[in-house]
This record gives sequence, C-alpha cells and structure tokens, in this order.
Amino acid sequence: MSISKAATRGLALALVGSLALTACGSGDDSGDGDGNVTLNFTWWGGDERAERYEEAIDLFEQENPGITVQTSFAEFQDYWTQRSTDATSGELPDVMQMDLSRLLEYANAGLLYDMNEFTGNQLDVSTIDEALLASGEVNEQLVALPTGTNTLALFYNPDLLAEIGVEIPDWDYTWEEYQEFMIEVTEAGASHEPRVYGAGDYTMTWWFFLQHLVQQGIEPFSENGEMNFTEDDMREWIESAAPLREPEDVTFPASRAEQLLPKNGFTSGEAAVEFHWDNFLHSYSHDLNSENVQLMPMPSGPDGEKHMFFKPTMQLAMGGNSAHPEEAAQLIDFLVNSPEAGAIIGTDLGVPASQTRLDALEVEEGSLDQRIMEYEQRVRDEGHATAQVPAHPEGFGAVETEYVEVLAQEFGYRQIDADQFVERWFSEAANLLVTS
Amino acid sequence: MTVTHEASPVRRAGGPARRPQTKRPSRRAAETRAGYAFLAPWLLGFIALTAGPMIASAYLAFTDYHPIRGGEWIGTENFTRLFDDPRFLDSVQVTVTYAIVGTPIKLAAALGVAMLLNNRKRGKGTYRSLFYAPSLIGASVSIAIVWKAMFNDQGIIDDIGDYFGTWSGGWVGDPGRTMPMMILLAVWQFGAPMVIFLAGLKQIPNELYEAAQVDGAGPVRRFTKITLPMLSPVLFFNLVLETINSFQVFASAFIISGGRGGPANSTLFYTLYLYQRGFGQGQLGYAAAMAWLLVIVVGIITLIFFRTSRYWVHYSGEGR
Repeated sequence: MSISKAATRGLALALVGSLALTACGSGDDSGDGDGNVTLNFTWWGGDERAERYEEAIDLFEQENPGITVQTSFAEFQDYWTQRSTDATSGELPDVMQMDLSRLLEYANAGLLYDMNEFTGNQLDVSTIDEALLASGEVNEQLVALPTGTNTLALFYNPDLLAEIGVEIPDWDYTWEEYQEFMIEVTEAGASHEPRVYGAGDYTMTWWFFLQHLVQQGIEPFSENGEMNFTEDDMREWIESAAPLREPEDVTFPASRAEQLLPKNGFTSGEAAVEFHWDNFLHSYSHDLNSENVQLMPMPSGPDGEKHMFFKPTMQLAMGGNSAHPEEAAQLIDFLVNSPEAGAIIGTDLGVPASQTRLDALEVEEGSLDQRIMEYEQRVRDEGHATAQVPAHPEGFGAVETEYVEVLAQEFGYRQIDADQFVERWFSEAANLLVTS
Repeated sequence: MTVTHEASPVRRAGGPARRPQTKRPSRRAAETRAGYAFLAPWLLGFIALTAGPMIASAYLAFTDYHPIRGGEWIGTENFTRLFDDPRFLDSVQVTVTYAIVGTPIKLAAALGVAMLLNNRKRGKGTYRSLFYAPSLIGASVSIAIVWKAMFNDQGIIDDIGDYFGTWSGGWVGDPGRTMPMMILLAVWQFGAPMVIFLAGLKQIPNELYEAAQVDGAGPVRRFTKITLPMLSPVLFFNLVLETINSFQVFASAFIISGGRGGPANSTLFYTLYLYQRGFGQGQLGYAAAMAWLLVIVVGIITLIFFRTSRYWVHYSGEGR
C-alpha cells in the first residue's frame, strides 16, 4: 500500500504542478503589479517590414519604460488564419495590423476596441485627413486607424528592359498597349538567360478586376454587400487578355511561379514588370536586390481616364479583449503619428496618413520613399485618381482569396477555362459574402 | 484473483466481522481510488481534448459555423455541398491515389529492408538504427523543406535528371510530378513498419526454411510459401496502420505547398483542404462535415480489411 500512497501523492503533485504551469501560461498578460505592462503586437509582412517595426518598437519601449511589446508576424494568408483562431478564443492581440478587406468581419462581431475614448488624449487623430479617418469607422465606432495610403502601380525593372532592348510604354497607355508590350518583352526575353517574360496574367488578380470595373463605371459592391457586376463582366475581363494566352502563351508560366515561391517572377528578375500596391516597392526592391525599380500608373480605361483610387494601405486596430487599452492606444499613436517612428518606417506602410509624420519625413533624393511619394503626388496632380475606394463588404477577403489563390492557380495551369472560373467564383461567393 | 476469493460472501458469512474484514473493503476502495487517480491524466485529456471536441465537431458539421460570425443549424447542407465541390473531389482523388499507390510501396520497402537486416551479420544493430533514422526525422518540418529544395528546378534531383537526360525542370512546379515526390517522401520513412516486420520475421521458426530447402524449394518459393503466410498477421497490422496514416497526411503537404495544396491542387490532401476550409476560410461547419466523412470512410475501409483478413491472414494458433 505504501507504494500506491507514494504514487498517488506523486501523481497529485504532478497534477498540481501542471495546473500551476497552465496558470502561468495564461497569467502573463495581466501585468506584474509593479506597473509593468506587456502588449502583444502582430502584423503581416516580410523580413524587411519586421526590421522596421522592431526598430520602432525598441524606441517606443525606451520612451515608455513601463511597457514591453511582444511582437510576432506572419505572411498575409497565415496571418488571418491565426487571427480568426485568436478571435474564437477571445485572445486577439492588443495591437494588430488590420486590412479593409477584413475590417467589417471583425468590427461587426464586436471584436475590436472602440478607440473613440482615447482620441484627444493618448491618441491624436486630428493629424489624419477626415475621409481617410472615416475608413476606420464602423457602426459609429473608431475601430481602426490608417497607417498610410497607397494606390496601384505598375512596377518595372529598367535594367532588365534595357538588357533585352524593350521600352516601357508612356503613362497614357491603354490595356491593349500593355498587352502588346507584354508580348514584345516575352519575345525579346526568350533568348535571355534566364528566360525573361513580360509579367503574370494580370486578369488573375482581384484588384485589377475591380480597377477594371471602376474604369467601366461599375462600382463593384454596394455598401450593404450586394454585387454590382455580373458573371458576364468577369468573363469578359478574363477573356480580354486572351491574346496573351493564344496562339502563344506569353504570360509568366504558372509552374515557374510555383517554384520561385515565396518570391515571384518580378522579384526573381525573370519578369520585367508587375502590378502591385505602390508601397510594395520596399519589399520588391529588397527581394530583387536592386534599388532601380520604377513605378507608373495603371493603364487607361475606355474613356482614356485611369480612375485610380487611394486606399488606406493598412490599419492598426486594438483587440476588444485587450487588458491594457490605454497603453495599446499609446503604441498606435506612436506608430501612426510620431516623427521618430516615421523616420524608421518610412513609406513601407504607405505614404503616412498622419500629417505630423508626413511633414517630419525627410526623404533622401533618389530613395525608395521619395519615389513612392513622388509617384503618388504625380498621380494626384495629373488627375488620375478620380475614384473612391471600392466598398469592402463582409467576406471581401475570402472572395479575394478564392479569386487569386485558388482559381487563379487552376486557371494558370490551364485546368479550368474562363467559364469554369466564373461559375466557380460566383458559387463560392454566394457562401462567402455577407449581405446585410 | 485471490482478493476476489477472500472477499467472497461465503467467507464473510463464516463468522462475526473481524477487523481485517472491515478493513478490506476500504483497502480496495483506496486501490480503486488510486486506479482512477492514475487514470485521471489520460481520462481528463481524453474528455477535454478528444471526446469533447469530437462531440462539438459532430454538432458543427450540421451548422454553417464561422469562427467570427458564429453560425446556424443548416441540416445536411454541408454534406450535399461537398459533392458539388470540385476541390473536394480533387482532394479525395489526391488522397486516395496517395493511399493506394504509396502504402504498398512503403510496405514493400519496409519488408525488403527488414529481410536484408534479418541476419546475423556484424553491426546489424547499427544498420537497423540507420535505416530507422529517416522515420524519426521524416515527419519533421525541416525535412519537408529540404525535400522541396531537392526537387526544385535546379535542385539536386533536377541536376541528376539533367545528367542522364531524363527529367528537366523541377518537380515542385509540375502537377504531374508532385505525387511521386510526396510518395517518395512517405516511402523513405519506412522505419516503423520495418521494425515491426523484423520482429515478425524473427518469429518464423528456422526449421521451416531448413525443411523447405531440403525439399528443394528456391528462395522465391520459400518467400511466397513460408515468409508471407507466416508474416501475414504482421503484414495485416502494418497495412491497416499505414493505410489509416496515409489518409491523414498533412504536415509534409502543408510545408511543401506552402499550405496551398498546389500546384493546381496536386498536393491538396484531404486534411489540407479541410484545414483550408476550416481555418483559412472560416467555414468550420463545412470542415467538420469533411472530418466526419473521413472518420466514417476510414472506419469502413478498416472494417473491410478486417472482414477480408480471414481469407489471407494466417494465425499460427489457428485450427488447433
């Protein structure tokens, strides 16, 4: 019996011990009682962005000795998988990057902290343009602050184009001229080592489809989540690039793109151009290992206008479950407004939304920051930005993923045609979009 | 056994209650308590981490539950939707191909190596450990990354292929070659069935082989007439285990395809698609329906194995 007794005691001890350990695990965010507060801060992005954030956080911690910030980051798709798990268990980070495509989903479920109670105190929002600020307001609550603005751009690699001897079109180019350019590059790049293509199939990117709709005078979504485009609109868009696939396929091959992951054709120096949001200049330049990456606007629509729009690049939001909302607001204010953080972050999160940070931003001549700011300025000055940001209904992020991750890949491998693409997207969208 | 006997009512009725007798039940109760205490960690784990979630998932399978929006009861709609979903059918095809092709190859490799190692040569312990090593590291994340690098364009496999003029271009980006790549990764981890086969081979009496040799049976005949029948219980065990495992492959496909199941759904294993639906798109109800369908199908397959086993599995104690 003595053995059993000892064993029972040992077992009890082990149980108590493991309970104590679990208790430690969940008790770390409640402060140590000596005024120290730990905040969780998470974002999506690559190494380059992580370095900037870490440096800015170090500075924040120096200025606020009582606050420790624990950081983590992930790639965009994984980031949202992690956040939805956090949301289910009520453990969203104190501060997190937010995207318009997911904002309604989180805000409507009451998962985000209303920052209105901090405005004027910990949080200075007077520095931000009102229309831009409004992008973070849902149900009369201020649930997200914009870090900056961005707009779509065509990235091009002048060195590579010079090597194969093809000239980039002028700013007033049309979609047809863009297609001719792609064909020209792919033909000229055929003998290059490694082989150079124009770019990927641009119709396979969700945002260009939306940009195209806007150019046609179609507002993609209504505020209540109704779609204002039809299956025909999407089919025509995809088939408009048919000359790039037939008779000869000049688009960047899907199989090569798959092998280059996590890079893409452009950042591997195998595609001469690529469309993306302009703030990606930083990571593209970093991945390509070249400072010489240039920007130009989208092709013009049928009326000769571009109808581009400025979007909040990304936002910062607070988890509604945050135990330290005041300190979290302080951190957001620091990242959005402070000139010191601005000097470190530059335009990686878009051209700063906050006037104080924008004014304090000293851009070097010829730097990437300067190139992005100059690009956005020129787009504004020349009147290319005439459209509003398309509405982002609840489920926007999910239908975008279906378009660019799932169907675009099957289409790229030529396993489905435009008809099947459209049919499947619409059948999924019926389950993913939330209309109110 | 003796405890039961001593505590029998016959004995107790024999005389007035004595001290040891009153003590005995409490002693047994203490033992029972100790038993449950020892069971507790497992029992708690089972209830909290297995049974509870399984019941919850069975409920979710009939809802359109979303981690953020919540959900409502929608009956069997998830199950009917499954069969109209092209990616679901892709994932079934990928998984079934993997199980049907991969499992026999893996078992054959395991048996082959086990037979090579089943002799009295020097250093056999070292060889056994070495051949088992891939199974220890094979399931790890780093191996999946190395695997991807090896089979990439200009990776080592591509270089070898180029040298012989057979393959060119990487395997990773070619939907037709990702399945062989995944199967190779699985076959390479033959260690666990190999160890079990080795144990089985040791049980076969040497006299049988000697007698057969005297009768003039060649190596092939000895293998088909002695080794295989004698080993059939072990083979059956390995077959069931490996088949179930192959239906659940996830980590390697997740790493190699970056969680996307690409290229063109060629590594979209069932569990990976389940993960994409449940955690990527937040369609937890749909994912739960997939999970239960998998449980049912694997259960049926296992049942078929057991039902057919009497025709080909020979237990040495049988017929006595």
